[in-house]
Amino acid sequence: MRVSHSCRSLFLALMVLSFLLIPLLSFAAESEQEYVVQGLKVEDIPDDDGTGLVISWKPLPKEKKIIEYRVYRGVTTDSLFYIGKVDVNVETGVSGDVMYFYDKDYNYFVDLQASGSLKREKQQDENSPLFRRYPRDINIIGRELKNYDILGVIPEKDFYYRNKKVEVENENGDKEIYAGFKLHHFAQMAKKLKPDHKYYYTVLAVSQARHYYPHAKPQIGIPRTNSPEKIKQFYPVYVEDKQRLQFEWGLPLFADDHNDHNIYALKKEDLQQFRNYVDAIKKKEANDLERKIDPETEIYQVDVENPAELIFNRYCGYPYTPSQIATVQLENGKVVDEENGINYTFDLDNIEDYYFVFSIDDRDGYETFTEAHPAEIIQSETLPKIPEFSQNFLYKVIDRKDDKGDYNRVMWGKPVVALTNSTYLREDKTKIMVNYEMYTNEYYKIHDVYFKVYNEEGKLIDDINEYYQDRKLKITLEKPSNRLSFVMTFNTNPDIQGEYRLEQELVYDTQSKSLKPSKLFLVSNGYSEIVDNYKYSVYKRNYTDEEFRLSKRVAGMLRELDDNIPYENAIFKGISQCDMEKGLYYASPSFVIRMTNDKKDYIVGNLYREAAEQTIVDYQNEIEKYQALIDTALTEQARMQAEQAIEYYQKQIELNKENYILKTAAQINGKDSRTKFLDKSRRIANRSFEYKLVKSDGKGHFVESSIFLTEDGKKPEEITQKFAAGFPTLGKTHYYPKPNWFQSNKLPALIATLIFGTLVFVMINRAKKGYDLYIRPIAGIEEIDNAIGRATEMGRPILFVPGLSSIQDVATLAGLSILGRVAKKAAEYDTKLLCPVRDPIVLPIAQETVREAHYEAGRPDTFDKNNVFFITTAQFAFVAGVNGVMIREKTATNFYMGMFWAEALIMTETGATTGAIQIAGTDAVTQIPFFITTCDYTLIGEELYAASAYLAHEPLMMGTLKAQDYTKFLIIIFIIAGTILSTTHLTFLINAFPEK
Amino acid sequence: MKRQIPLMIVMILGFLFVIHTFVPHKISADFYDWWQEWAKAISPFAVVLGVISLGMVHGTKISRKAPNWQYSLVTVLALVFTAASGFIWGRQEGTPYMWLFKNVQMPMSATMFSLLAFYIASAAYKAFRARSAEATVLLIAAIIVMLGQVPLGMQISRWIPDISTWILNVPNMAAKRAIMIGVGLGMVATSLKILLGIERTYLGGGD
Repeated sequence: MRVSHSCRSLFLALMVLSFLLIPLLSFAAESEQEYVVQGLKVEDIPDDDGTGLVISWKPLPKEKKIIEYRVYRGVTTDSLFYIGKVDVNVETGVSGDVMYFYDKDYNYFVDLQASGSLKREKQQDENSPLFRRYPRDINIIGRELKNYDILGVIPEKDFYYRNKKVEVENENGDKEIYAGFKLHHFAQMAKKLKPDHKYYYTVLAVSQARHYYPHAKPQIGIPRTNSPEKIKQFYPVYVEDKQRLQFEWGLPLFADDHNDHNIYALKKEDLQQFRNYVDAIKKKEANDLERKIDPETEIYQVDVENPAELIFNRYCGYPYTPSQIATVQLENGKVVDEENGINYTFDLDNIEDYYFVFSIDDRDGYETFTEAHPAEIIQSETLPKIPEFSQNFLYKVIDRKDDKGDYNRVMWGKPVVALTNSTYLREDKTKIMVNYEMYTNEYYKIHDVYFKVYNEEGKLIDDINEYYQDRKLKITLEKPSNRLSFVMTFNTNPDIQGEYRLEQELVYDTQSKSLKPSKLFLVSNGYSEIVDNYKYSVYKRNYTDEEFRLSKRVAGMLRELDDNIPYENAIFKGISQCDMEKGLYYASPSFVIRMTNDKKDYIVGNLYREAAEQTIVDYQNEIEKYQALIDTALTEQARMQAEQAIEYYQKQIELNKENYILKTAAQINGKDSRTKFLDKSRRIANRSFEYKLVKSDGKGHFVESSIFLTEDGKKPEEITQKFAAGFPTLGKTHYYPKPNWFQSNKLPALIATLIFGTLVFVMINRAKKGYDLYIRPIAGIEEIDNAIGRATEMGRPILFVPGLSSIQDVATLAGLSILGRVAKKAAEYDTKLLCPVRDPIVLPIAQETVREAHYEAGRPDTFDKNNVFFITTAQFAFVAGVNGVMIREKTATNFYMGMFWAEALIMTETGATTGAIQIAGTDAVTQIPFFITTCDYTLIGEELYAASAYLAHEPLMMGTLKAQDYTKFLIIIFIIAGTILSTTHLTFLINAFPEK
Repeated sequence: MKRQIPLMIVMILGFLFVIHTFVPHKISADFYDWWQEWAKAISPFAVVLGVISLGMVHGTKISRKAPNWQYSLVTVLALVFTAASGFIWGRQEGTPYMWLFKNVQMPMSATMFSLLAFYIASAAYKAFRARSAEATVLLIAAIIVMLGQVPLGMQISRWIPDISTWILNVPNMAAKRAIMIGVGLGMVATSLKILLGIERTYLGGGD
């Protein structure tokens, strides 16, 4: 039966409609109250700084098909804003009984992409208090500034050069200078909750059909400050012969408000009193919380004295210093640190009678102690050693080569080789393949690795020189062995002096039924250690840090670490004020440049010269105020406090007037020049680091290096004297990573490109002079004309697919070049050419190529723009479209020129079934076999690129083809030479080329 | 001028990207990041071009009632509805747009992809017919490689997996690398031709 066109179109339209209606029909409405979230609770997060709340609720049953839970927060119950969601897999539902959402730390508050105006949440009733995210409306955001701790993330350029100076009168009537910014100057504003503030939260469920159900009744939450987390790992060690106490501890999860790391000594008889003290301060903390809820609650007084004596104190506050070790050197049993008020004497004869306690205190004055631990008493010879790097250095810090200036490299020790695995190659277990890994640093270049293999009887069974390290060895055994011993040594440049070897065993493992590597031993000049037992920690400190910070901790076999020093591109500023009329948010115009050399004060720059000058005037006023206080002070203590304040302000004035950076900035006339100077000084301070290396077993047995010091102390060349003068230790102890202008490992590629370029020029010149450049005939290309002719004779169209890749792909460009030639020929023969395109950017280029071809052929009238058309970007939908074109249009000739993936075979097989002649060309190695199988002619790899030149037969084009041939010849010479040299253990040629 | 200005842009930016390959400096990295931002900005405009092309091709077919115009109608309806569902209800999980994606586009794409299995069998049959000495070598190699991938190969002989690995790692890899070297050179040559203005067909036309 033949169906008419109108019937067919009706049927199709019905099919489409049914598709469209199915999704809508499936979203049936159900009773809404059943979908209200139950068990909503808001609780304080423990161990934090009072800025975190956790919201929890009972998830709805899986049958409800909930796709997400949306969380809303506000400071009143009548307006709650969307702050985030928890996604749910509809198929699996939620496995637990409770769902959690953490509102803590600085996280997204508002940015330029936020909605312009306040919008109510979808599908909620008119009186609903729910709104979508905070809009970028300053009238709303401005009112919230007092409710949150807001952090503005301002791109550097905006902060320095697009600020607006604003004078604001404070509560005392004094004028304060701020930098004003519009919202679009911020990359983002982040928020953190404020301690002891009330926040309301609610949650609503969203169904799979994106139906927003009613929200739960809002619940209140108040974040409270808590004492720091209790640390569980703490290891005190007493190195008896050195009279040194060493401590190592674990790090807490939350550390934002931590202030100090402390270590106390405690006599054993005072342990119970100490525990009472710890209990008492816990009760005090609980009492503080109760008093916040009910101020009438009686104050709890800590009536127990802490019997432990402070022997170590180190600041660990912002920026948080995740240091895990401390050393206390005793002088005749005495530890003295006047600055921190430490003065304690140990009875060294009875050091085992002491306990040690580690504590962290925070900005709110809370302190948390570890359990009391006795010290492990050891001798220094049992401590690890950092293996000597070279004659002059224990370790070395250098600027990493070939980078954009964002890495320093720390190197230590000599190369290490470790066995990693083994596999039996024969069933009788008499041949094994052993995998190994090598670890070295930039200084030591490994030429050869020597493996001596001994059997269980200690008999040498193999002596291998790995001159080319392919990370595997093949060893033949006389008989199966349950234990093989390896001794590994090196031939390096520079030479390793003295005794240096690694020892490891392969032991039969009954579970895996293979030989497994044991611990790796390093033996060097009488010293021996198990390499796996230790880790290296690199600590660093820049000019703005008071203390060293842990950069990274790496395994004991590693020999270098690239320390990332990213470029900062944003300034973080607290935002607490704004001007709603002007639309400006106010930030402090001051910024820390660096610390003073004694690490006691900050050198602070200011965006505005007047503000910087005003600071000095303010200090002078303060001095006058305290002078007056001295004169009227009633007590000695008040007088002393005033004197201390005067001393402090005098020091600050001196610092502001005499410091090189601030003094130089004050002398610079131009506003931008001054800012530029301060900005660059700040960058140098932030990006220059001094380093320390620590080797540790994680349990207090560690050795700490001194700060690395160079021999020459040369400053980086790109930092001029004008800036360097503000950083006397730069290049000596502080390392500034330099950006490099050339990537040295790409030198072979550059040389090859230059040789190839030169060959191209030479060959083009020869072709221009009329030399006959012979080019090997390529069947696929020669058949192009015949294929077009066939389509013409049959009166059917030609199909040309220029690949599925984007215009960035060189194969697409090559395909388009061929398209131009084919289209010209087709236009000459007046044959229709269809060109379906997958990438929309390729579309206008393909259209223009075909149009130009028609003009060149003198047939602009036959050009139809719609013959070069876009189908879709979806890979297989595109194939379906192309196959449809082949079948409906009955194309006589199909060209596939460009990049193809899995769809290649589907297209060409369809083309083959339609009886079209097919010519394909691609550089996709995986698709070439399919093209060869299903197409009549295939351009393999480079032939695709040559086709355009081949068809053009122009000297310029032919020259490049000939140059390609000569370059291939050169490559073949290198391959042969490399093979021969490597076979004779000469690896310099293959090493000259980078591996990637 | 219509040709020269685009050609100048191509040449200048092309050489800058060549320089970027060898220069790791921050200035070079920033330039590359800047370009990537621009590249992202161009894409949406290109999509508009694609949609216009689609509309023109299928609109003409529908209006002229060209043969098989019904397919064009389905294409246009699908385009309009999918776009509208995305604009109206969004693209999140659970929206009609996502429903269409999961229940229409994904199964259809999977169907097309699954056809590949049959086409591979058909292509294998064509390739492995032992019509010549070369084809016979290909057939034997293919049988060994296929047997080497399955436990049966090991059962027949313990050498089969080894030979299979050797075929894949030595002759096959050598051929692949030879093609890749040729491709690499071809790419460099084409890039060089474009940079030097020798190859201009991508600008529309050969000269």
